Amino acid sequence: MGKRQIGEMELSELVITLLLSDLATQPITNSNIPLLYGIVPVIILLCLEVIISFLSTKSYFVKILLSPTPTVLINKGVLDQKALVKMRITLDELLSELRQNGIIDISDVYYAILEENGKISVIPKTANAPVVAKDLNLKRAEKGIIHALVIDGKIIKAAQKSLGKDEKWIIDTAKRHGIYNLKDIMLLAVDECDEITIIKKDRGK
Amino acid sequence: MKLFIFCIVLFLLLTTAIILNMHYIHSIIDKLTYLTESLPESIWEYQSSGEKYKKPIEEIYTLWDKKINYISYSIDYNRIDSVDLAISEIYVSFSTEDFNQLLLSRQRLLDSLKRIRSLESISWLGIF
Repeated sequence: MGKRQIGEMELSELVITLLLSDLATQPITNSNIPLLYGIVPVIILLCLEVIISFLSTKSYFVKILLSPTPTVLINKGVLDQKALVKMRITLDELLSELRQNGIIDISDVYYAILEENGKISVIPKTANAPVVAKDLNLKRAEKGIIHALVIDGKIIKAAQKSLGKDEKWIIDTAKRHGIYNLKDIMLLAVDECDEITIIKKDRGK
Repeated sequence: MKLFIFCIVLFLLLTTAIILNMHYIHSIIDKLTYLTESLPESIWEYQSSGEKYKKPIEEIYTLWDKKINYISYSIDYNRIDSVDLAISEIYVSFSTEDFNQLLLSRQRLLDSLKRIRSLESISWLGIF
């Protein structure tokens, strides 16, 4: 199941998780059961889970057999009442989800889709969609992600390696911002355009 | 892909181990059942030629004693206890010539062995 959370689990994963927790406790709670009664089914279920997940990625048939498909709740601005009843979602719940997506008026929505993991994706009508740089024909450099090079006075080796910055560069950068000791840095972050964010430690003045 | 192959191999290995274990337990249970069934069902036969049955009773006792540790890895301890008790009762009641008890324990042992065999089989009954 990896790093995915309970809300993002597929049906088979959820069932297997519940079964695993129950099976694992059996030999512990019942002293009449041999330990193998717990271990063997747990290993078999884990193997089956990996096998099913792999087959789902390779076969569309297995995928639709084991996982629910997304359901369109609002289609081109029209509320699909049958889909709402079928998915057992009340209008209040839908409105709440829309509000959480920053939409107050249901008529502003072009598509609302109930995804496999139970979340609702909302696509607003073009007139209500936020303006982006592309709409204004602006060209902006890609900033990439920000790497935290120093956190709480300590150099993060992984970030240092991925950015290719040595310790001297970090110390010089800190000096340019008026910080002469690395221990005084709360955060020193650099993005892929070499734009620096530096936060000095609050010494509780 | 590596994980998938590993899981397939592990799954097949476990399934094979379960089937082999099932056959091995069946062979032990069948042997015990055969020896138990060789004991007569009437008190009169014990009274007339009792010493004749000493050997199979000791064989049952020795076989069970030798295999109990292995069997306890995959069989419910309650079932093992019931077989253990029945064999001990057969052994003691034969020594004390309490043949009524011996007949009762013989039947109890046969029933317990039958139950273990059915539970250790791949069948609907084994699942439910």
